[in-house]
Amino acid sequence: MTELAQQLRAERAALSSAGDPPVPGWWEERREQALATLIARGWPTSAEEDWKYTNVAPLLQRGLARAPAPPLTTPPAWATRDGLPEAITLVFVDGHCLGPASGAADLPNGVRVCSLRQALAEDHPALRAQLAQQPALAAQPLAAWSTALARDGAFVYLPQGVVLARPVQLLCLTTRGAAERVVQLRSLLIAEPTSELAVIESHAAAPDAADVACLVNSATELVVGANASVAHYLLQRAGQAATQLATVQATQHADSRLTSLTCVLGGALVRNTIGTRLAAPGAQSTLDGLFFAGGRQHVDNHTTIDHEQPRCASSECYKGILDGAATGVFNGKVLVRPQAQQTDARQSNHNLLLSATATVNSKPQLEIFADDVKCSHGATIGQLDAEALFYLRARGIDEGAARSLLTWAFASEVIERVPFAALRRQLASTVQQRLGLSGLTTT
Amino acid sequence: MSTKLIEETAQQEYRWGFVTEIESDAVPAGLNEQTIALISSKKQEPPWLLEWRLRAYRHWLTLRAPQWPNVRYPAIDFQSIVYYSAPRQQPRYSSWDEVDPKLLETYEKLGVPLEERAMLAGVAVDAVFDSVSVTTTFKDELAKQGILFSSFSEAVREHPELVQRYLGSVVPHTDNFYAALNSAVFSDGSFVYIPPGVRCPMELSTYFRINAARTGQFERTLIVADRGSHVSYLEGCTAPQRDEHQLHAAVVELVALDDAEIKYSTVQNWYPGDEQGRGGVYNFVTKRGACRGVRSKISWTQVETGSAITWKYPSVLLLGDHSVGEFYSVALTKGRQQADTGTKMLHVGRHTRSTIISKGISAGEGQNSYRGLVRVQRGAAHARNFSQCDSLLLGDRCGAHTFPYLECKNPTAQIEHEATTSKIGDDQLFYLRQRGIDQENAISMLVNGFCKDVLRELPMEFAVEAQKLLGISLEGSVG
Repeated sequence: MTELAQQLRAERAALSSAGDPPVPGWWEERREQALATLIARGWPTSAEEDWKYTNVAPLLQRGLARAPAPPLTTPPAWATRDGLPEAITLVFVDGHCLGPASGAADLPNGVRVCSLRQALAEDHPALRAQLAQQPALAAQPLAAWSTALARDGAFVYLPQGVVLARPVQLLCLTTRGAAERVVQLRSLLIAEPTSELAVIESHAAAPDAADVACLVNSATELVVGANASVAHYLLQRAGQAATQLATVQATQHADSRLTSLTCVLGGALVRNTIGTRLAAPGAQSTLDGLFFAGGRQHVDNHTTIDHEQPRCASSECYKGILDGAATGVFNGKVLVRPQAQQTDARQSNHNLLLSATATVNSKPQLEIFADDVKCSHGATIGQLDAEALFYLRARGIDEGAARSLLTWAFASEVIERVPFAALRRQLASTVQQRLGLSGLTTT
Repeated sequence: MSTKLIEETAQQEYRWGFVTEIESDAVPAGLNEQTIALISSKKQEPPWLLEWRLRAYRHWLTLRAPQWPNVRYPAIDFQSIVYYSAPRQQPRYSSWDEVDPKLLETYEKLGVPLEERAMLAGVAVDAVFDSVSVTTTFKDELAKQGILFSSFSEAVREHPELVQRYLGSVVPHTDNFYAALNSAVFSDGSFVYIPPGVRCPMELSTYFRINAARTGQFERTLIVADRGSHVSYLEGCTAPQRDEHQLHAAVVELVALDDAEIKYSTVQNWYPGDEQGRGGVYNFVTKRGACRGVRSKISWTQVETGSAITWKYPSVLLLGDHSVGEFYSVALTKGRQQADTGTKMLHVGRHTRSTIISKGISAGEGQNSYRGLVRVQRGAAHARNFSQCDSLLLGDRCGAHTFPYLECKNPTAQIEHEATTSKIGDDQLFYLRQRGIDQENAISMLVNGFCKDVLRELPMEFAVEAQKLLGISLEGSVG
C-alpha cells in the first residue's frame, strides 16, 4: 500500500469508529468508491494541467489530522454576527453542524434544511438518488477526498414548485481547535422542478482564530431541476494562514437557471473548482467572481461550463485584484459539445495588478465542437487607467485615494450583483477597508 | 476569390501529389549513434557538430513525446524512419542547365519555375529538395552586399564560426522532444546572415518538399539579422501524396540584433491525408525568434492549410528593450486534419510589444486549436500585448478550441486577449445574397474577409498563393 493509501485508509477507519450515527449502506459504498478513486489517482500535482499554477501536493502530503469536534453544541454569538438575520441558517464549526437550522420554523411542507448527517440518518430519499452521483464531481480529487472523509455538511431540499423567499445561509467557521488540521465539508443542495433557492455558503475564521493555519476542504453539489432557479454565493473570508479548497458542481436540467457568485477575500491559499453541466436544453448559467488578494496570498479560481445540450446560455465574469506579492489564477473553461447547437457563451476575466511583486495567470479556454454557436471570451491584465487617475487628481483627490476609489469601482461591479443588501454592505466594507477607504455609502 | 477558384480548389484532390523518381542516397531506417555519425560524415561535418548532434541525441533518449497537444494520432515508431536521404547525384552546379531535368520538372509541377520566378519577381530561391540544397540563385548579387544565403551544410563549411555561435542559441537541443530529435539528425536547411545596416534587396525564399518515402524531413533554418539590418524570408511547402504518415520536425531559429527586423512568412500545404484520415504529414515544428537587440522586431506570418497534424508555435523572445514580436496566423483544418498551433510571446525587456492575430477555420471533421502563451516577466515594465483569436466553424462535425495562457508579473504591463467562435452568420449571408451575390461567392467573400488581417501581412507573391490555398471545400459546408 502506498503512503497515501495507508494514510487515507487509516483516516477512513477512524471515521467509522468515531461514534457518529450509522449511515446507510449505499453511502458507505459510495464513500469507499471515492476513496478508491482518490488513492488510484493520487493527490493533484502541478504537472497536471488543471493544477499547473497551484501546487497543493506538498500541503496535502503532510497528512494533516482531522479537526476534532468543537467543544460547543449551540452556535456561539460570534458565529452569526456576520450573517444575514433574515436567513435560514446552519452553522458549521470545524466541520460539524451545531444544532438544527435557525429560522426554519415555518418552512413549506417538504422543505429540508439540515445537516447531511441528519439527512443520512433519516435516509432521505433524495440523497440516495443524488448524493455523489455527478461524474464531473467524482472526477475532482479534492471532492473525492471530501466524499470519502467528510463527517458532515449541509443538505437542502426544495420540493417541486416551492419558492423559498428567504435565503439559506451556511456559516462555515474554523476555530483554534482546527490548527494544523483538516476540516471537511460535504453538501448537497437540491431544487426540484420550478422551485427557487438561494444559498449563501460563507467561510470564515472565528474571531480569535484569524491566524490559525487550517485546511478547509468543501465539496458542494447542486441539482437544479427543470425550470428551477438556484443562486449559490460562495463567500470566502478565511484566516490569513488558512488553506481553503472548495469544489462546487452543478447539474442543470431543462430551462433551469443557475447563478454562482464567488467572492474571495481571505485565506493564504485558496483554490475554487466550480463547474456546471448544462445537461438539458434551455438552461442558463451565470458565473461571476471577485478575488482580492494581497500579502503572499495565492488564489486560484477554476471554472468549467459544460454545454451539453442545445439552446443553453452562459455568461461568466471574474475579476481579480492582486496586491503585495499575491498570485491570482483564473482558469475558465467553456466546453460546447457536438449536440449543443445554438449555444451562447460569454466569458470575461479582468485582472488588476497593483504591485510590482504580484502575479496573474489567466487562462480563458474555449473548446467548441458545435458550429451554430456564439462563443467569446476576453481577458485583460493591466493597471488603473492613467486618464481616470488624472481626472480624479485634477479634482483635488490625492493619488492614494484616487487609486483606491478606482480599484473599488473595479471590484464593485461584482459585489453589486449580490442581491442581499446586508451582505452586499458587509462585502463592500471589507473591500473598502482593505483599500483604506471609509465613508463611502453602498446601496 | 471567385467561384471558379473555389470550385477548382474544392474539387481538386491533392494537386501536388506526385513522386519524382530520383535515386536517393539514404541511410538505413532507424536511429542510433551510428546513424548520426553516418549522417555527419556524409555531410563532411566538423567534429564539433557531430559532438553537438550526439549531445542532442543522448538528451532526446531521456525525453518522451509530448502528450499535451490537443491532437490524436498513433504513436510514431522512430526506429522505422529513414533519417537521411539525399538525391544520389550531388554535383556542384555552375548553371541551371546542369541540374537534373527531373528536379526542374518537379519544380515546374510545383509552380516554381525557379529562374523565371527569380528574375521576374526578384526572389532568390534556395530550393531544398529532400535534404540537400541543390542550387542557390542570386547568391552573387546577395554576396555583393555581404549577405550570406546558403544551405545549412554549406554554411557549416564556409562560416563555421557564425553557425557555431548561433546554432542552438534560440532553440537549444534541450528545448523539447522534437527539437532534440531535429538537433540530432537535421539534414539540411537554410542559413541567412544579414550584415549590419544592410536591407536585403529581395525576398529570400525556400521551398521545402518531402520526397523519398518514409523519410523524415528535419530542416534546420538559422537566420541572423545583424544590427540595423532587415530581411524578409518566405517558406513554402508542398509534398507528394503518400499512404503512410511522414514526420516533419523542423527547427527554425531567428536572431535579431539591435534595430534589426526579420519577417518570416510561411505557406504550408503539405499532404493532409485522404478523406478517411489516412496518410498525411505530421508537422511538428519548433520555430522561435530572439529579439536580442533594442528596437529589434520579429514577425511571423503563417498560412497553414496542409498536414494531417500540425503542431507548431512560432514564438518570440522579446529580450531587447522596445523590441516587437508579431504573430499572424491562418490555420485551416478540413477532412480529418488536426492543428494545434499558436505562439509564445515572452516579454523580458522593457517597453516590449507583441501582437497576436490568429484565425482558425474548421470544416468537415477538422479540429483546430489555438494555444498561446503571453508571459510578462517581472522586469518587463510597460510591456504591451494584444491578442485576438477568432474561429470560424463550417459544418457541425468540426471543432475549434482556444487555450490562451496569460502570465503577468509586472503591474505596468497591459495584456488584452479576446477570442470569438462563430459560424458564418445567416444575417451576413442574407445581406450578401439579397444583393445578388450567390451563396458560394458570399461564403468565400466572408471567409476571405475573416482572414484579411493575416493575409495582408503576407508578401505579395505569397498572398496570391495563400488565397488559392484557402479555396477549400466550402461547398455544402454551410447552408
